[in-house]
Amino acid sequence: MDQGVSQPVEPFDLTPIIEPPTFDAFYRQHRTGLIRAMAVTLHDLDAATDAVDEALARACQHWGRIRTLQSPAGWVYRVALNLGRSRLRRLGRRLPGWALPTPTAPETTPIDPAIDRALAGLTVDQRSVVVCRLLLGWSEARTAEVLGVRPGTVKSRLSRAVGHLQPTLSHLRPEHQETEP
Amino acid sequence: MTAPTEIDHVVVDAVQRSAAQFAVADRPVALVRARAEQRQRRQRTTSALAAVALVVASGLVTARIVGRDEPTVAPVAGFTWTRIELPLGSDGAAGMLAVDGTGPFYGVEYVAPRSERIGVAVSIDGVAWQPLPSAPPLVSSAGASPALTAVGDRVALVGRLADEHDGHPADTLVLTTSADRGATWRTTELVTELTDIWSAAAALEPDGVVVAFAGNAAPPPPESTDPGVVTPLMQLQRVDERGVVSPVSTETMPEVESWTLVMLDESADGLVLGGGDATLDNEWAGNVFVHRFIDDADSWTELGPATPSPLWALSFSGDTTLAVGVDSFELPDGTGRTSLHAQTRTAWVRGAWQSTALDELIPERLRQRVTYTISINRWTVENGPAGLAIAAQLLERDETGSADGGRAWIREQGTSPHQMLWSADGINWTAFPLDQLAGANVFFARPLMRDDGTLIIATYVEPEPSSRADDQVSAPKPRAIVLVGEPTG
Repeated sequence: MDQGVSQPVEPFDLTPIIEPPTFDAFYRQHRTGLIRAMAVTLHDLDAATDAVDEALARACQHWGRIRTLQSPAGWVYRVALNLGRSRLRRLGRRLPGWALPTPTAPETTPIDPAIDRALAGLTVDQRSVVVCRLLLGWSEARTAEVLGVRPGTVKSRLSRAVGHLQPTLSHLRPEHQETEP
Repeated sequence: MTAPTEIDHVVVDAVQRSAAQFAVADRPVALVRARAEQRQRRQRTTSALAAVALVVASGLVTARIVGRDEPTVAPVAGFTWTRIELPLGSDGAAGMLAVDGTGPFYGVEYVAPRSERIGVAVSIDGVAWQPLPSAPPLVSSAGASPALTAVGDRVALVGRLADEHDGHPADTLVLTTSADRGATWRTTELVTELTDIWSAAAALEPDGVVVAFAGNAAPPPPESTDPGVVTPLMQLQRVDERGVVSPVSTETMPEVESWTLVMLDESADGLVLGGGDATLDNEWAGNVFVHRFIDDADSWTELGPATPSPLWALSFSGDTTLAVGVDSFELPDGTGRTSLHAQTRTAWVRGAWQSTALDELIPERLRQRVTYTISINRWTVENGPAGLAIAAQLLERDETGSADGGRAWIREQGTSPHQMLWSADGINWTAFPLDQLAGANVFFARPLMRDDGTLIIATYVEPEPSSRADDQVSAPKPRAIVLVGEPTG
C-alpha cells in the first residue's frame, strides 16, 4: 500500500490493499476508475476507453504474472498510457479538446469549464503525474515506477502542473466564492 | 511524503471532478476475455511477424514472412501461378529488406518477438542470413519502422540508439552506414530541433546519404491555450562519406494530423516524398501529399483529398501513377442490412483521382448481416508499368452494445482471407481468390508487380483456429510462401 496516501480518495483510489485474486474481480474494481484516469490524462474519453480496454485484455492474457506485481493497476495504467499516446501520435499531433462525456452522467454536476481549460493547459506528461498523484493517490515512488521516470521528475512535473493549475483555479477557492455577489 | 490532499485541496478537487464527469459505459468482462483469447491465438502465429518484406532482384524472389499449414494455390485467370516455399528460421527473419539488384540483401530483424530492438542481417541469396553483430543497437522508433536502404555493398539505416541500460529508445536519432556489407559501421548523430520523430526515410547518393525525417516542431509557449497544436516539419539532411552533416532544408509540412513519410522515388530528378492523412474534427480527410525537392519544384503538392478514409499504404511510380490504400467503414444503419461495405480505393492516374468502390468483393453472407461491419486492414500497395496491385485484409467485426449506451463496443470477431486486387488502370479491378488457399487464413499478402507484368504475392497463412486448448504447444512450424503469377497469353 502506498505510504503517501493517508486517506483513500474514493472512488478513484485504485491502490489495492490486497491484490484481487481473480482478473474478473480486478476488472470490476478498477476498470471505470482507470478509464476516467486515462480520460483526464489523454484529454480524450474514447481514446482512454480503447487504451484501457486493450491494456486490460493484455492484463487478462498475462494475468498470472500481472497479478503478482506490486500494482497491477499501475501496470494497466502504464500500458494504457503507452497505447493512448501511440494512438494520439499516429492519429495526430493535435490533441483534441476535451472529448466531453456523452452522455454526461445525470447525477454529475456540470463541471466548471475553467477546470477543463486549466487541465488542457498541461502536457500529457504533467497530466499523467497529476492523475497518478492527485487522482489515483499513488505515492511519488509508485508514480515514478509506473511512469518509468525518476521520483525527482515526478516531483518537478507535479510542481509545475500545480503551479499552472493554482492561479487558473483560484476562483474556486472558498474565499473567492464568498466575495462574489 | 506529501499526501495529495496536502498539496492543494482545490486542485485535487478539480482533478477529481474532472474525472467524475466522464460517464463510462459498462462492458462485460467476458468481452475483454474474448479479446485476450483472440490476442493469444493471433500472437501464437504472428509474434514473429513484425513486418513482411518482399524483394525481387537479380532473378531472386525473397520474402521473409512466416506462415504454416499446407496451402494449395488455385489458378487465376490471366496468370499462371507457381508456389515457392521459402525456408524459414529464427535466424535473421528480416522485417525489412533492401537491395538494389547489384549487391546482397540487407535485412532488419527484430531481436526478440515484440521487441523494438532491431538488428541487421545480410544475405547473399536471400535465404541464408548472417547477423551483423557489429551494427549498432537500434530501436525502431523513427516512425513505425527504421528506414533502410542499400546500394551494392553500401547500406544505410536510420533509427534511434537503444538505451544501453534497458534497451528502450534513447533520444539520439542516428544514421548508421556501412560501405563494406556491414563489416564496419559509421554512426552519425542527426541533430534536430524536432521534438518527436514519427517517420523517416533515407536515400543513398554517390557521395553520401540523404535523410529525411518528419516530426513535431518545438512545443508551443506555455501561455498557449491549445498546447496540443504543433507545426509539423520535415527536415532534410545530407551526410557525406566522412560523416559530416549538412542541413539541406527544413520545411513546414501540410497541416495534417498523421504522416507517413515515404521515400517514393530516388530518381535522378530528385527525391519524392509522400504521405499524408488527416483527421480534422475527428473526420477523416484522407489527404495525400507529395513533395519533390532538390530540383526546382520544392513545394508540397496536394494530391488529395483522396477519400474520407485513413491512408494505409502508398506507392508511387514515375510521375503519373500513385496508388493509395484507404479504409473506411460505417456503423450499421439499423435498417436490417449492413451498410458497411463502403470501402473504396483510389488511384492517382494521370492527374486525377479515380475511385472505385468494390462492394462486390465483400462476401454476400457478410453484407447481409445486420450486426457486422467489415473493414479493410493492412493494406499494401505496389505498382509497376503493368498496373497496380493491392492486397488487403478484410476484418470482420462484431458489434455489440446498445444504441443508447454511448459508444458502441467493437471487437474483432475474426478475419476473413485476404483479397488480392489488380488493376491496369486504377479503375477496373480484378479480385484474386487468395481465399482459395485451402485450410488457411491468409493473414498477410504483399504484392509486387515486376516490370514484365509478373505479379508476385508473398503470403502469410495460418490454419483455422483450433479448439484444442493445448494447440499452442503443438502448433506446427511456420512456413513462408510466395506465389508468382506469370501473365498468360
